[in-house]
Parts: sequence; C-alpha cells; structure tokens
Amino acid sequence: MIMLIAFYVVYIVASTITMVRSGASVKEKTVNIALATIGGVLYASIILRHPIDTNQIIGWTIDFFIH
Amino acid sequence: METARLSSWQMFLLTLAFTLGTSFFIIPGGIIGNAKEYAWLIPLGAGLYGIVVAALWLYLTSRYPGLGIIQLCLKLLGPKIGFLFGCLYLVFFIQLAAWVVRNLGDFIKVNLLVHTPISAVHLMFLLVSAYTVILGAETIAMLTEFLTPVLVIVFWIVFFLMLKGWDWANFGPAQEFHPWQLMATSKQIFGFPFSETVCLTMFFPFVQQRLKTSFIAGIGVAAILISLIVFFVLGIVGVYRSSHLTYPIFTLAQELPFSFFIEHLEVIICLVWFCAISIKLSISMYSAAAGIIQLFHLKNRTFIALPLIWIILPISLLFESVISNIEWDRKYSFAFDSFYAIVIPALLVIVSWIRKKQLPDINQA
Repeated sequence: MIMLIAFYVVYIVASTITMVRSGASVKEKTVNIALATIGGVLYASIILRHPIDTNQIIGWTIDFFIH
Repeated sequence: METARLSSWQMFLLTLAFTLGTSFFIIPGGIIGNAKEYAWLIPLGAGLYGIVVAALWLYLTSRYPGLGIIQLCLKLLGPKIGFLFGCLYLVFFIQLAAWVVRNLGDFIKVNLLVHTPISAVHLMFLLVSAYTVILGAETIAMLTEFLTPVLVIVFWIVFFLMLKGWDWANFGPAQEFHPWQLMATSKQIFGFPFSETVCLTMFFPFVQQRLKTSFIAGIGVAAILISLIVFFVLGIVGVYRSSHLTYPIFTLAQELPFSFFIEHLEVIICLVWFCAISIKLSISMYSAAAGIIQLFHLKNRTFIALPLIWIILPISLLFESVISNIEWDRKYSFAFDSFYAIVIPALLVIVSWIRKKQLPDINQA
C-alpha cells in the first residue's frame, strides 16, 4: 500500500511538473489527475482486499436486465 | 482532433490484426468443447454476424462522414445524453484493453514467467502500448502494416509444419448437426472478437478511401483464418484433447517434433501472439484515449495515455484466474458486447432518421 501511494504521489508530481512546463491547459491537468486517481482507488481496493470489481458489476447489471 | 490519414490496406490490416489479436489463441479450445467436430463452422457464422453488424456501423458513419462513434453520440444525442453514452463507450474500450492485457498476462504467468508478478508483465506491455498511443493512429497503422503480413506468413508456415500430425480419425464419429443449437452454445464468439471491432469505428474518420471494403474484408478474412485454425487444431490434436486445453495451438507447437534439427517452434508462435496482442491493446487504448479527448475537448494525448495505465492495470488484475475469465466470457461476453455493437448504434441510427425527418418539417414551417 505504501508503495502504491508512493508511486501515485511521484506520478502526480512528475506529470503536473511536466504539464506545467509544456503549457498544458487546466482541463488537461484535471483529467490527468482524475484518471490517475480513479486508477489509484481501483488499485487500493485490490490491495485492501475489497476490490471494486468492474467485471462483477457488469455481470450483475446484465443479470438484472436480462436474466 | 488528430489529422491522421490511413489507406484502405492499413484499415484492412488493422481490422484483421484486431480481430485475430487474442482470439486465434484463446478461442479454439472453448468452441471445440462446445461444438466438437463442427467447431470450425462457428467462426464462419460469427464472421457473417460480424459483417452484418459492421454494415450497421458503416451505414451510421456514412451518414455523418468524419465522425467516430463517440462524436456521433455527442452529435445525435446532445451534449448531456451523448456524453453519458460516450462515457459508456470509454468504459467499454478500457475494459477491453484490460481483458486483452489479462489474456496475455495469464498466458505468460502460466507458461513462461511463472515467478514474475502478473502486474509486472501487464505494466511492460501497457507502457509500450501507451507510447504507441501517444505517437498516434498513423503510427499504430504503420506498425500494423509492417508486422501483420510477417506475422500471418510466419504463423502459417509453422502451422503447416504441424500438419505432419494430421489424422482424420481425430474428428471422431460424426454427431448430429444442429446449427442453431451450436451457435447458441458458442455465442461468446459473436461478442469476442467480432462485436469488439466496434473499437475500430474510432479509426473510420482517418480512412481516405474504400473504408467499407477494407473493414468488411478484414472481418471476413479474420473469420476464415480463425475457422481454418480451428479446423487444423481439430485435425491434429483431436476433439477430446483440444477441448480440454486452454491454449491448444501452444501445446501443439510444444509437443510436435518437426524434424531432427527444428525444435521449440512454440517460441515463434508466442512471438506472433505477443505482437498481435500488442496491436490489439494499442488499438483499444487508442480508442479510449481518443474518446477522452473528444468528450473533454482536449488536445494532448500524452497525458491521457499515461494515466490510462493506472486504470487498465488494476482492472486487468480483477479476474481470479484464467478459468474465471473464461467463465465470465461464456456468460456475459455476448450480451455486454452486443450492447455496444448493436443496441447503441441502432439507437443512433433511429435518432438520425428522426432528426432527418424533423429537419424538412422545420424548414417548411
């Protein structure tokens, strides 16, 4: 978990610095951080053994509507 | 908005590589288990279905040239509902990329790098694909143009060498032939890989000429090749054994002695598969990145492709094993893929008809 948080922080800091230097728009920075955060939450849920299982969610949705 | 230009040959190869990508390695075992000696007919039926569904997308995009499927959602359904449907397509592209990378990870973990963490294998391939995505659609098309003919030729040379083990007795005694029942039991192949080609609608705006021919030919040729592969696997490995193997082609290449000096041709088969998977992964990741750019009106792909790895990597780890992956595929793949391949495009076609009908009325008023 500590490794994941470390990777996440390093990625956010590095990508933000690069984006500021390359003159990226605020929207681009926000989307970048939002996507990385969604991924970070998904990864954390796996490490904490309570995965946000998208496959299962899709399965439940299909079962709900079809079966 | 990217201004890439793709030739019809490149589009044909993109479609062929995408459709064959993971399927030629994974599908044979499953459909032979379901359809026994008639399994080679299933890909032909599924290919026909894929062509019919592709005709729907081609009809839709021909009404609005220069727009991909997500842009069509935004144009026809309006900014709010269109955004929602666009996000659904994003989920589809990201899920697809995750499944593709998981198929590869499972194979490498089971057969090659047993002690390496599966996430490390996934990360390596995702990084390479992200770099291809950053370079753009033309790079993916050129990569495919360079690799696909070589891969197809090499694969078939190795496969023809395996024909030494051919035995008609492997087909076993003929069973009763119930085509509809066989299609129903193997319905997952209609979803994976033929409905998944909806991903390639994101490349349609870049194709300069003969889009319809190249796209439909790509699906048709892929269906014929998968059917041939299944037929050869049946003839060499047999119905019973191949239906119990996860990767029958790999096992086949491992076991068959080719000659006194040519050995371990499974390595070549593996390389062919890795390259094919990289192309499929790049296409699905590109579709996701292009979709995000279109939905949020962004310019730079670099900072979309890299954080996508953060999302695809954990999703690819969700299946417990290759068995749960196959089970999920068997149960839900057809329904899930059909929603994106038939339901939403059909809805878009209906909305486009209604809009066209409304326009003359408004003009008359």
